[in-house]
Amino acid sequence: MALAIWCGIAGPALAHEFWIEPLVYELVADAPVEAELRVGTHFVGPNYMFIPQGYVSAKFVGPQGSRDLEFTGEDSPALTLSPLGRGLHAIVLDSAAQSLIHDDFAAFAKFAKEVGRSDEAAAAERTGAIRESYFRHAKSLIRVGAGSGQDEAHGLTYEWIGLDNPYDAPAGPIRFQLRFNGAPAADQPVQVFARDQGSDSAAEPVALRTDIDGVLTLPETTRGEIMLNSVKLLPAPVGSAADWISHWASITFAR
Amino acid sequence: MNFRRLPMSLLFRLASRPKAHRSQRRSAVSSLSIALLTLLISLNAPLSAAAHEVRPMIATLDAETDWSSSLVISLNLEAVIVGIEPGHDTRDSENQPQYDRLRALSPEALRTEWEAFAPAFLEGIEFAFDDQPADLTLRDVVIPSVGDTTLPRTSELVLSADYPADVQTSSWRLDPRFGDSVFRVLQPGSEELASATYVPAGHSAGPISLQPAEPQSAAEVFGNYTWSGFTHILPKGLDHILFVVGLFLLSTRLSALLWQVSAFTVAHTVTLALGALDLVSIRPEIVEPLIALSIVWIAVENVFTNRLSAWRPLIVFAFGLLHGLGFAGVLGEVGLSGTHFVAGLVGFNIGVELGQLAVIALCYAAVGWAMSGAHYRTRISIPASIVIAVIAGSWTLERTGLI
Repeated sequence: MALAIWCGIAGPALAHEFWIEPLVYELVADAPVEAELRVGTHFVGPNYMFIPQGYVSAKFVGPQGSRDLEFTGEDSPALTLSPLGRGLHAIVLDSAAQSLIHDDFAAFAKFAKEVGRSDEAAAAERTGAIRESYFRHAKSLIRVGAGSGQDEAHGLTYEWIGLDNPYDAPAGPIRFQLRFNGAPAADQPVQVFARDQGSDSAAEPVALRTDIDGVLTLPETTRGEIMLNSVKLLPAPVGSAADWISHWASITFAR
Repeated sequence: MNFRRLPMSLLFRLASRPKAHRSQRRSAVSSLSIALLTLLISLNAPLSAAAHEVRPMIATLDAETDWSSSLVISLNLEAVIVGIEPGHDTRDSENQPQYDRLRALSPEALRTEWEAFAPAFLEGIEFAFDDQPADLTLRDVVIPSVGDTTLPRTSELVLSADYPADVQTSSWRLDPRFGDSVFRVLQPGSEELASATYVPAGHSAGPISLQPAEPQSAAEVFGNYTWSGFTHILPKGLDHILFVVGLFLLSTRLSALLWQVSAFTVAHTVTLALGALDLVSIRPEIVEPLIALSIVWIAVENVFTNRLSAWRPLIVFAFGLLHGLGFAGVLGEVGLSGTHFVAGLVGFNIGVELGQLAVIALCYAAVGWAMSGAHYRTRISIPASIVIAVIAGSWTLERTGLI
């Protein structure tokens, strides 16, 4: 799938998050859910059309079932979805593999350090191109009408799961679990981006880590439109076309 | 390349595309708001290239005018000029500095660069009406100002082609070196899409019909909305189902029941129409808990009385007004407006009424045999009403945020 190519080399903008950005996170009953798909840094980036060929699976999940996202050709908003009942809804996107070649080892090593793989990346130092195969696993939690609900696992390789529903959790911290291949991803670096709802402004990342159970606890004070992002960087199996495989897990919600 | 004069009407039409405006406004706001951040980054680090993920080109055909059609292609002009294509990557780094240079150019300077490249690009487009290659004429190149160079810039090429009067189809293909694309056709006289096709690199789209879809007749609108109204009760309207079951449980005579259900329908027709015409609007945070509470009321009344009170029809009517307001959100979804407003509204409400009658028929099928029995009230009506009261009570608490 050649939807995406990167035409740049590393710098501050090496890490490009992919996220689902609903125009409104809490809607009245039956109102359509509208969302953009964005790639960028600091919670700012251009919007992209939803093209199903770029995804292994793309679903909209609500209290009354789920359905696959369809190609509409609309560019903004990328998604307009009729709700499936009242309560917590999720948009769940699982991308096909895309590839990227780094030709600047120092920048790659910096990226590897940020996502918690400094030792192996340093050990693998080499001259010449570094081939990375990357996968994007994005979710967004939205509430439609009055009603509760519980986020659940949707089988993404690297996945955020809301242990608390941000829309009806009592005041206090809320918890999200990060899972890799279904198992808790312990002690993983996480970037938290937060800004006022309705704002388009850039947000500085706050670095946190998951605990021993893969759980990230967001303090009460983290409010507004929020994105959690984590990258799992792994050496590629010997003989594969890539040197590294990365899995990018993001989740957006508001509280 | 011949630059014929473009009529003002078409120029205006292109310039007033609301979708384009909306997204441009949004990106303008985000550009402004991150300007400070960009400044901070550039103070700390040498100006470095931003990695831009290149979007597929989007070609949109507007075949509204009878003499000519316009084809607007939105694209990353800089990437196209330097030949950064899908399938290639940053190892082609000899192109990267060139891309960055173009990205920083003013619209005028980039236009000059583009003009040298344009003939090659236009040769890479295969665009046809009824399988006959169309003669494309470049009318305009719309290049936004430099803005924030950490974001890609999306420019627009405005092309036109003569448009045979009786044309049936069009097709689109892009030279594989320009990668994948999306080909869209607008509905005549509208900003709505009639069709959209994703075109992988090297593939073609079409032939795609340009014939407008027949506008819906009043009868079709009526039929569609009747079905929509029915499905908003069965199976989608659990609120309404419980309310109607609540009415059913107290009434052992069919006439009294039908009378109440009809009063309910008339009432919610009134508020639905007022809502659809934007004359009345009440916040759902207020309406939704009240709807749940109205179900509790009916169910509790069933437990404490065994005959219709004098005020029950009035209460049912009042609750009907409330439930009609609850449909306000539905209107956005089914789009009740425009030419056949009355047909749609009446159809929707007839559908709702039929849905309610279907619920009653199902109730009757389930417990009708017991209705004349001595124990109907104690063994069926009261326990079922208590269950309904508990469910609706929990909704009330949930919708007021208490649980």
